[in-house]
Amino acid sequence: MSDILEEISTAVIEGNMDDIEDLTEDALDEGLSAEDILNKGLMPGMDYVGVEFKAGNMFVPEVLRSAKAMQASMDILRPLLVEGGVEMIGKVLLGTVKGDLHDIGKNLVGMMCEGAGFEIKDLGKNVEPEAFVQAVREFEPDVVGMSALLTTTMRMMGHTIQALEEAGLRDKVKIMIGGAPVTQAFADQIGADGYASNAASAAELAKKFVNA
Amino acid sequence: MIREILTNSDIEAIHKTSMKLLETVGVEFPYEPALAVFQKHGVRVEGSRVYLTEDRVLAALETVPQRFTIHARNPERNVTVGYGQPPVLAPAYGAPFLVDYEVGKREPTMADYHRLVKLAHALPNQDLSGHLLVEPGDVSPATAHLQMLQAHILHSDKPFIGSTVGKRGARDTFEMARILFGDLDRPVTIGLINSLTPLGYSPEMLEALVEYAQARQPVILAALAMAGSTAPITLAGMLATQTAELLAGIALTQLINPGTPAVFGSTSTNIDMRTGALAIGSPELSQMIVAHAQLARFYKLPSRSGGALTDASTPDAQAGYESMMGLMTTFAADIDFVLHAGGILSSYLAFSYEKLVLDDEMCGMVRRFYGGFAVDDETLSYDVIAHVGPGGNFLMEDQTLLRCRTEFWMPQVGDRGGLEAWMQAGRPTALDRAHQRWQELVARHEDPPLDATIARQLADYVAQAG
Repeated sequence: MSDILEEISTAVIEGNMDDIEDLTEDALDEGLSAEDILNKGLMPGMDYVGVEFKAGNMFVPEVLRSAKAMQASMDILRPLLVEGGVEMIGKVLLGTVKGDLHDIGKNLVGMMCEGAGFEIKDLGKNVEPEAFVQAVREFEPDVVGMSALLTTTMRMMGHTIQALEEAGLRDKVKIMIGGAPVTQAFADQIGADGYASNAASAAELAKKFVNA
Repeated sequence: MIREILTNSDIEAIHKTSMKLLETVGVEFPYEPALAVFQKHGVRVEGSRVYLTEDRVLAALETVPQRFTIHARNPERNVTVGYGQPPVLAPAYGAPFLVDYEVGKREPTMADYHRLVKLAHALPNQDLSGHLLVEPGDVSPATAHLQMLQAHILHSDKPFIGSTVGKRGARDTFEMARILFGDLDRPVTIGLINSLTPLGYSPEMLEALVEYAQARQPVILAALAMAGSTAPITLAGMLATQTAELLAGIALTQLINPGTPAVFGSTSTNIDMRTGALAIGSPELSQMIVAHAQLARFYKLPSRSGGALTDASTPDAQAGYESMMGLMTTFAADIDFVLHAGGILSSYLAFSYEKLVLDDEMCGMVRRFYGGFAVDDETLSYDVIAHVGPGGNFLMEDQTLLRCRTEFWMPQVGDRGGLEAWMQAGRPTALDRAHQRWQELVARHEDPPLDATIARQLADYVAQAG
């Protein structure tokens, strides 16, 4: 039984889009639970990818492909996990703030967080503070991640945090921010809970937030 | 001296691909006034997507001046950009951080800004004093551009670059320029408009583009494409992508106001595949500079690219070798306008006082190299050689005495004092010397005289517009 789980881990590491769906179905046919496939097949694969990425041995396009392979398997597992009452380790809401159209970093963060076991909702780019507020109400995330690449749009992060306060939702979430001009000092200044300088550490920060 | 990296058939192939992209895939212009202009000229527009045919775009490009002069408040400092002119140099633009000699990464302040303008003014190879040398963090973002423009006008009589923070930035630039120059019947500044690769523009940039074109003030349309991320991983693919979007933007300026000076710009490069981060110190960046220059000449457009570019976060050896490679290539490729000719660190994210000084010195070296030397009866020195004769020495000759201060380039910062002197001095580095040098230059700065009425009107404008 562990063979198929190892094959699934390998498929994730190799970013093998051709085989991952069949392997997932095979594992389910063999009687493995969706939860086991996730925790003992997909997650070990992504953990390995995370370590190799941090060490500079796996490159960004390869990591994204691994994440994509994991997503393909998750598309099959997700309804079964919900049915079985299995919860992801947490929920992360992401968006690039109003006025800003840069989203590659945020997309990478989404992939890394999903690889770490989170359920992700991505609001896209140029997201109004009100849209964040609405999404927090509906999706009930544990973590909100905001991204900005321009110094001129960074302050929207402050406005968005304010909007969450006014809506009485600020203490329901942990807020992390990122983007090239963003700093820890800026995060402290606007009352964010954390700052990450790259996608891998963003995923780690999100994990810390839910374990805390 | 022009170095070429693309063959003529390479250029044709890139051109054909760009034209196909323009005609079939189109470019996004999410700004109504821009779309209206295209529609008025019979260009196919669907929603915010614009589809230009080869004929239409090439016809529009015909009115772009191949050469234009940016006027300074001191006419001796005017700069002419384009065909037949050597590269015009301007300092770094847009960095949100400073790398400070004492503390490393820190946020710039308006006090830094004033010092940096004075430094840019003092350095011999910066032809413009620039704009947005850094992003000052202690002033309101809504009005920072006003204070910056004021600093440039007060501390320097070199030409300055304008603000392109949307319609507001453009209009404030022109108002302040009008106060200074009386009218805007000639180019008195230049604005940087960035595309949003792949194949688009942001509404804010388009606002500024329209304002500049209407005022007939020069614009640089520049792409910062990232191979493997916002553009194809291949340089050929990146060139095809950005050429399409840039030509569409330049065409727009000409449709709004034919004859508006427009510069074809690129700061594009690869990303580091291990981190996804931009790599501006790479050999690929230098390849892009040359290729882009060739495309500019093919389209008969003035070019902007290059500079003293590095990914290093401090002015160390890496900063030196990467910046010099970029700078030499910029000159070899005969780029017309160079932003970031001094001061950049950390892949455009940081500015350094010391780096600006060191880069300016490098600019001087490269300019000297490309300046060539005279071969004529006098310099061939037959009479002097014959007079000194075999085994003789030239140090005391009249010719040597006459020319000893002007014949060779001399470093202001580079060390030629020798090993022993270096030991005695406590083993200082180029960074240490540059640190000393900028402090001297800023300390002895004097604002060039400015009419008191104009100074007051500018101050009033900044106060009321803020």
